[in-house]
Amino acid sequence: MVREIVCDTSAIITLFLSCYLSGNEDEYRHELGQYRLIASNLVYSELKDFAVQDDDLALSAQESLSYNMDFLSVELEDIEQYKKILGVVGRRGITDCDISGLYLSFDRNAPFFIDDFKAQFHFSSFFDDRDIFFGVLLVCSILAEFMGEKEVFSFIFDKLVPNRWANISLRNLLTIKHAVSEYLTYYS
Amino acid sequence: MVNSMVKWLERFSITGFLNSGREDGNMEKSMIMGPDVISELTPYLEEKHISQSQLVSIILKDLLFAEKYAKTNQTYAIVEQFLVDLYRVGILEYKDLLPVLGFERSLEVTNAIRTAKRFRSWSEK
Repeated sequence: MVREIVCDTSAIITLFLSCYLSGNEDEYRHELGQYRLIASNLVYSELKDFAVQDDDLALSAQESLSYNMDFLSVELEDIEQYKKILGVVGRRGITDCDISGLYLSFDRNAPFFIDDFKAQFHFSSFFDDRDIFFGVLLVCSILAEFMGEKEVFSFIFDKLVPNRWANISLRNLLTIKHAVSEYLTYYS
Repeated sequence: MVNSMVKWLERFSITGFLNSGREDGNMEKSMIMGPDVISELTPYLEEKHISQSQLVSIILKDLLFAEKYAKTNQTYAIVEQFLVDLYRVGILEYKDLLPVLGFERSLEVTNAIRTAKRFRSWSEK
């Protein structure tokens, strides 16, 4: 069964960078094929901007743009309405792109994956009965299909984190560690 | 509860290393881990069906993680991991995190745990 999921730019970059770093792209893509990826038109624009830069993240953005993903339009008025509901009008940190993904996930009744930790915290605190996850957890789930628990943990912190978030703060590093540990503890 | 945990960390000599003021954060101080120290926590552990060896394993993993991945403030990294691990296994409650982590960080870490649990449920459906 293919499951529909909505992804923000941050989660898409994490997903495709992990594919590249995993060393087993065929297996990874096979597992990724269990999901139908949906993103907003704003995410598409962001990915195109990322794709022209000159780093690994650009490669990940290029990969994602060539992947069979559905980019759907979100009306500006819907974004504005959600910004008001969430109390983020005029505040920095949470973007229209983040909001458009949240809107789509509600509209499609599908889980939302985002690796902007501040936005995920705000969204999941506000809508605490909704499925709003970290993209890095989806990576763990995909890798756990063909790697052991320790291998997945090492991959996340030895390969993914240094390449995905080069100057990660201790706060975000520990947030990822707590979430990954919680997921892997009971997975094995 | 959290105070006894932090005192226990002090007994572990962790805070000796934490308070040593080393800016490079190297963990060169030896840790003394006697059975009498661990046995202080036995009542809490038994209640949650956690063995002493599991607790030692948790602590060692947290220390290794801090040493390997935390580029700054390894002290804080060890303490936060330890408290969150105890929260995850049910020994500490949310209110126990507040005195050390503060309300904002306590909310963030408990959200991270809740998100992972929720994701696991979703992925197992």
